[in-house]
Amino acid sequence: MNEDALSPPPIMDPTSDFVRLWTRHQAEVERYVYMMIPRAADAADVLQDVSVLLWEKWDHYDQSRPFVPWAIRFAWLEVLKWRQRQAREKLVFSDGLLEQINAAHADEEPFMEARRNALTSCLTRLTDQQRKWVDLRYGRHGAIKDEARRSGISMHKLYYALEKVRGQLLDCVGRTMRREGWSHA
Amino acid sequence: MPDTQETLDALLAKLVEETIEPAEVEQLESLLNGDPDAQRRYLHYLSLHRDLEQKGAEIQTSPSSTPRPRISPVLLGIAAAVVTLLVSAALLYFDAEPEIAQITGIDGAVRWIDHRGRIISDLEPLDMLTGGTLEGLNADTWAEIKFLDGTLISVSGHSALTISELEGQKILQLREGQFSIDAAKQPPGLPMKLITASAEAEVLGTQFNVTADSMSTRVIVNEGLVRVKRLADGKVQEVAADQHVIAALELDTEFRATSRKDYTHAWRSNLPRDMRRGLWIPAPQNKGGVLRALPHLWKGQEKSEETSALLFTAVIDPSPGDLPPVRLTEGARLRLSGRSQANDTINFGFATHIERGGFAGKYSAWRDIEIGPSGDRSFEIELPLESFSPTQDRFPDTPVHHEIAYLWVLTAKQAASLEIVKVELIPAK
Repeated sequence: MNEDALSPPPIMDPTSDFVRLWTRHQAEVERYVYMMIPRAADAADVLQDVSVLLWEKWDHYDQSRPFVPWAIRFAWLEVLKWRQRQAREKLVFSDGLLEQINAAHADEEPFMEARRNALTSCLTRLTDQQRKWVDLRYGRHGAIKDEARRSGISMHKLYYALEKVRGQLLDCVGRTMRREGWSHA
Repeated sequence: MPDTQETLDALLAKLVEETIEPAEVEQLESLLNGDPDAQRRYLHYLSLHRDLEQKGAEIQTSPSSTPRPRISPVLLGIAAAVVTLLVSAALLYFDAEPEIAQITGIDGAVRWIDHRGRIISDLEPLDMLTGGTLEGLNADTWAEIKFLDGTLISVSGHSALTISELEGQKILQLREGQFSIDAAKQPPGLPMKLITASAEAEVLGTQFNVTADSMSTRVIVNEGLVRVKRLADGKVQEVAADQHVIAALELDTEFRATSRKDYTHAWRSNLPRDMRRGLWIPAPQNKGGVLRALPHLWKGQEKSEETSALLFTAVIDPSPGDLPPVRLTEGARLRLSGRSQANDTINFGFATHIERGGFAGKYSAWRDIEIGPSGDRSFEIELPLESFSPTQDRFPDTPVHHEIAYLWVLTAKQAASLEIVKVELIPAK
């Protein structure tokens, strides 16, 4: 007897499908949430809520359509809920500006992947000193503070140097994009 | 315009570093509003920051694009001398007092005296701090300080805490009051040092609560290990998780780390033993007594229109010494019995710790008191826990399951001459 005939028919496991897609695209959704809520702890909280909401809505997801735009639609709703809770908070943007940034993000999203690739290339062009600033800030948690303590240079000065490097990296990414034919950059 | 972009970038840098001020957020909003180019810059900047955070490990390990030339030892020596000179020059040029911490939460009257002796009464969340002293000026005061390594300190009530950092070693000096600390792992060989009038402690990374006055220090450890030295005789105790120790100046008191007792859910004050602030007035023939609220000047906030006021406060600790911690339960009520020279409006409140943990929140209620007709000027109020509201949005909605750290009763009316007879916690039947 054919062994396959005894096997149960394959069943789509909704949990594993969701986990697979969420794992693959979480960073993109996280980036979007962070752009709307530029405070790491709050963004992380909202991202948690987004993941729960997506799982609740998973039955309605049409798997023939791309996951990220679907997820970002719900992430936007969670951002609005968070914004309502922060009505009196002075450190968040107005509803009107959030709407504008959300719309701008929709325009920019298709180019983000190319920008990330360009960034990888631009990082290799940093001078040793620039690389050191980036390394101190992003390479190891707390290293820039250790450096400030070690050198006696104030955190303000170190962060100013870092601000300049970020600006140069953005310029480099823009130039690289244009060279590669992205007229949008 | 380049100038606008520079301003925008500077604001975005503060935004991603989470050091931006409310006024700067407004400025950023006005730059972004209706400007598609500025909005794109915003998105690119934040995306770049996020990507760099995600690439962190790669950046650290990937090789530099520039090949490193071989340098002779002589050139290295010259370079080292030049670097030393430059660093020395930088130390002179740049602000020599580095920022070591940030205010992350504040409530009530708090004063900051910085390393140059400047008094700042309008501290706000996100303000950066150099070394200095934080003074909590009232029973319902609270402030949270975060060191750059993530170590978090909550100071509450009347307190005076000096923070400093010397060659990478954090030093906390608590003159009076209480704080709760969640210490990040400290660098090897540089334990955090805690100094009070009666004790010194060394901390490598742990969660513990400290209460101190001029005579004694109580350390309650919730996680990790704290080494406490009693200054009076130099004896040392290691205090482990769920233990506490009291280091007093009087040598006839016990100095031994002991396990914390089980919670109690019903409690009645025992005065003057539980008194933390106030004036104890014994009754004739030792038949009880009252705790009179003591005055202190509250100067108001510098930028507010509130004028200075004299407040009268009494503060009670429900678990002094090695008494069991008092935990709040669902349906419990607090009863306050006291005396007053006049009808008054009082603030009755308490600060809490999370169960076997650090600072949780402060809860209070305003109530009118009417003195009884009997002529003994007595009053009594009984409030269910639901009547007490968190004094800040960030505190949990309910204090149920929290431990009471201390309770306060406060009035602004001098003529009331407020006195506390007893406070009780009555659990639900």
